[in-house]
Amino acid sequence: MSTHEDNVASHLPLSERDFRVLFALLDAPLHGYGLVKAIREHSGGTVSPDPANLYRGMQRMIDDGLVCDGERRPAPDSARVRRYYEITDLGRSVLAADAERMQSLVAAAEHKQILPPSDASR
Amino acid sequence: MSAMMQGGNATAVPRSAARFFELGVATLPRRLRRERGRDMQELFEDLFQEAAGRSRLSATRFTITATLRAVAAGLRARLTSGGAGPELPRGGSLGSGWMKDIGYALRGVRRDPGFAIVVVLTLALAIGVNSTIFSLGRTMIFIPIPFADQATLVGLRADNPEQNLFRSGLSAPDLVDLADRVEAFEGIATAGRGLASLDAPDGLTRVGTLLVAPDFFELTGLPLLAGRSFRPEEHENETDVVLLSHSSWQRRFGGEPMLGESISVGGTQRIVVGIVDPQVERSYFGGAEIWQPMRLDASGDRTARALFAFARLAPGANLEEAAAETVSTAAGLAEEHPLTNDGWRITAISLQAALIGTNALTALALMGMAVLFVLLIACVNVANLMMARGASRDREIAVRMAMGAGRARVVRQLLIEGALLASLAAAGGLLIARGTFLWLVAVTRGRGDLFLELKIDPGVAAFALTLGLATPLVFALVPALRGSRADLHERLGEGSRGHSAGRGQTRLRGALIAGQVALALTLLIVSSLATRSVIALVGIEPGFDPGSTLTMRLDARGTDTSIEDDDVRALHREIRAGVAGVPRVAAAALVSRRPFVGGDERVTFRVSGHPEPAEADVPRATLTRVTADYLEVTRIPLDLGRPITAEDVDNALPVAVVSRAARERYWDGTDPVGDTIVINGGAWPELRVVGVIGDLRNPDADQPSEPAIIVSLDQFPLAHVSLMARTRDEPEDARDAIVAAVRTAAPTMPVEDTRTMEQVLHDDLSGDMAIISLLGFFALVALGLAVAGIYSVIAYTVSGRLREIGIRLALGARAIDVRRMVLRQGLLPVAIGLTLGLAAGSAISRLIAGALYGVTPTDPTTFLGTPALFLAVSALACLVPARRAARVDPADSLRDE
Repeated sequence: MSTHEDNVASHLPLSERDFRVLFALLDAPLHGYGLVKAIREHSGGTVSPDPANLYRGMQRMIDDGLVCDGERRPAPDSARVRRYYEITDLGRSVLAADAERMQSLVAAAEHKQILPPSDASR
Repeated sequence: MSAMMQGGNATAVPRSAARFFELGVATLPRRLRRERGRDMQELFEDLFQEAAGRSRLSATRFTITATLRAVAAGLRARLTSGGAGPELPRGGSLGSGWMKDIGYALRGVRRDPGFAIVVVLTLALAIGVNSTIFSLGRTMIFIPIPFADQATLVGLRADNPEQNLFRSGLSAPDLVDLADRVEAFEGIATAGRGLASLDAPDGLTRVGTLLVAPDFFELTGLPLLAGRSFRPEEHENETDVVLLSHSSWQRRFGGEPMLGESISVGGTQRIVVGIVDPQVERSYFGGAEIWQPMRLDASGDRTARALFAFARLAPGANLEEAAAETVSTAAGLAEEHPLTNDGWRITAISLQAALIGTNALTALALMGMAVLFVLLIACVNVANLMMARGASRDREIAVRMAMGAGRARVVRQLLIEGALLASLAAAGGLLIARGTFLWLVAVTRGRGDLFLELKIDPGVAAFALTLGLATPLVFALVPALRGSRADLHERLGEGSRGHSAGRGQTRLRGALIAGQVALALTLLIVSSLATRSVIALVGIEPGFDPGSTLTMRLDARGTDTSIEDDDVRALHREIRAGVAGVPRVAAAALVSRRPFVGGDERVTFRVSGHPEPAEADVPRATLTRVTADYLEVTRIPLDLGRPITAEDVDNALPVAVVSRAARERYWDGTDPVGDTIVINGGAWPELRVVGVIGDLRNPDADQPSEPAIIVSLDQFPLAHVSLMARTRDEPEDARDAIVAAVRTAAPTMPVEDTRTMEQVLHDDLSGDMAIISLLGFFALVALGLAVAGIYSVIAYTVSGRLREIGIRLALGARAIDVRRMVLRQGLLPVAIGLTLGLAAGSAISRLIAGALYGVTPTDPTTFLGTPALFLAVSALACLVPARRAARVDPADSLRDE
């Protein structure tokens, strides 16, 4: 398992956009537009990737094995055929590890009273 | 089901937007494009529709930002992946790819040199002439005179429309009154031009002087290099102090310190108190070597309108107020002094307007229009050419992409080709600008100081270069835009079906042709009118023979103003005898004014025995004072009686010779010989008319010859005269001998302006000629470019429709039908353009009517001839491709490829 953990660690830290992409894929495979909409929703509209940069990041995560190509099938909301992307097991592990990393950072910040103590569920 | 409905209702993404985004995607690494390109395109479409649901504006904004981000991503990807990443073509770094593309572009130019030459020459010509003409314009408009606070300095101008006098000078008493009464003026800076002989170490010469009234320097703020300006008492007493111009100081006095030293000006010793700053003389005040103080005489002659003036606005006053107040004050002066000021209108004008002549502005506006038209036509042409060529390269590009070239690579390739053509054009353009500039300086040498200031303006050159560079670069991308429309397979297939342009593109091309034709025809009309004016001007007989004649100006009182009339007579006799004694000289005469230079002395006269004329009909004539041999030198014909001879001396009976025009007008064509005339109401002795001679052409070519009276210089002496010598061979060869003879007779007398009579005449027209020939050149360039544009578009359209034409022919169309179809298609936009051009041409020619001579602004020859010429040349340009179309073999065109 140590090789798996090493592998996970080599992908840390995630960029915010990569984090949000993996996060959006946790529940179900999504196509590009679905992904954009999910990211917007989770970020409260502050993050809205453009096609070129979204897929440039996507390609890298596919190369790294965090995400994999799904099938092309009609999208339920537009009847158009779109490619769906899925998160891999490695992707889930990296996402969790990155969340832990950030949690420890938050804890440190609370300890130094940069942040008011609170539950970090948000 | 509802999802399907929704999808069906979604608005389609416009092709242009998709293509635009694809240009951005094209900059991404190839592998990313191959694997995710389609997904990106689809996501773009989804997001575009979402944005379009909000508004068209947000859809547009989204398209632009998405594309720009793609370009940025492409750049980042290339920078981060370095030179050896898997995304680059195998076996080469980025650098070697560039070199390869440049080599490829050069090969392309070599393969199709005609296209490259046409594009480069077209743009180079346009860039070159625009840089030159607009630099000239800037030089003329932004005259770099170091006036202080130019915003509150205005010019004064006097006109008398009744007497057809415009932009006249002003008189001293009028200026004194204006300065007193106009409250919008803080003060009026007044100056007058003059001439004086200057005795400098380099010899005795006649130089320009500037007489300045009190406070001139204080009001204008013109700087001095050294010393001081004049003191109030020096103006009041017109003291013998002077300022020297910088160039005079440097050239004539070697730049030695000389403040406080005295120099001889007009025969009087004057103390140099200062040197004028070189910036001042570089421009408007360039001709003045000596600056002298002058008193403004409030009780002087109000008809002596020889001064020019600038007024400094009072704090808070503006030009409009000042102009209104000046006009009303001048109207008041006209009421107070009706004899001298009636009909005179004085107003305040902007400094710029005061410093540039109206003629210069008209000429400049015409030239500016002409070169701008040439530039526009050139850009339209190059755009058309690049589009046509780009479209015909679809197949080549498709093949290259099919063989693995990435889209970025193809775009880069096209851009490099465009840049190569553009930089060749830019280099050529700058060369042409340099050439035109040198030529302009050469033809305008000695005509004012403006052209000495001429240099290529960097800003202007940058503008012309930008336009010239942008055109090929932008239109080089057309094939890439077209190319991205469909996939390779489709395009390879399409290539074999020819490349007929879409309806929209055809219409765009037609509009471009019509615009081009309209611009070129307008130019042709204007330049044709101008050329006919000049031909009419040159064609006029001057009324005398200017050949083999050397002339120079002499001033008997140049060094000594105190000499008596008798001394002047003696000096003139000696000079004439000396010059006539030169073996190369056939005849020599002295005249008060050389023919044709204008500014003649004018008199009124009465013929004894004729009934008393009404006030308005008092006979008027120019007065010329001449010595014997005047007719021998000028070869003016003698109609009746005798000319002025050597016997018409001071103590003989005063005589006069009148001109043909005077005889026709004031003697009704009867013989005037033997009559006596009284000049200027008896101020002169009575003159006996002894002869009639031929007319001289009016220097103001629009007008008929003026009646002239010729009198004896010996009987009515004048110190400042011109020598005219008819030589037996080339007048230039006799120059030294003639000047030597004058020097022997009058060692200290200033001699100036030695020119042949033909030079005197030629200089009168050379400015017009230069402008007209430039204008004509531009018009021909415009015509050539427009016709080339028509040809290239029609030829291209035909070559793209060979298959269609083949089918028509196979289905029974006759060759003549095909020819007619092509001609109609080509000539329709030409006809539209000609109509527009005629309208524009007639509007502009009405504007310049005042500058035309011997031709009306609605000249039928011009307005029928130029469009006919245009139509004929355009028809020829269309006929070549039309014939090719009609010769198409249906079988060949269908089997082809």
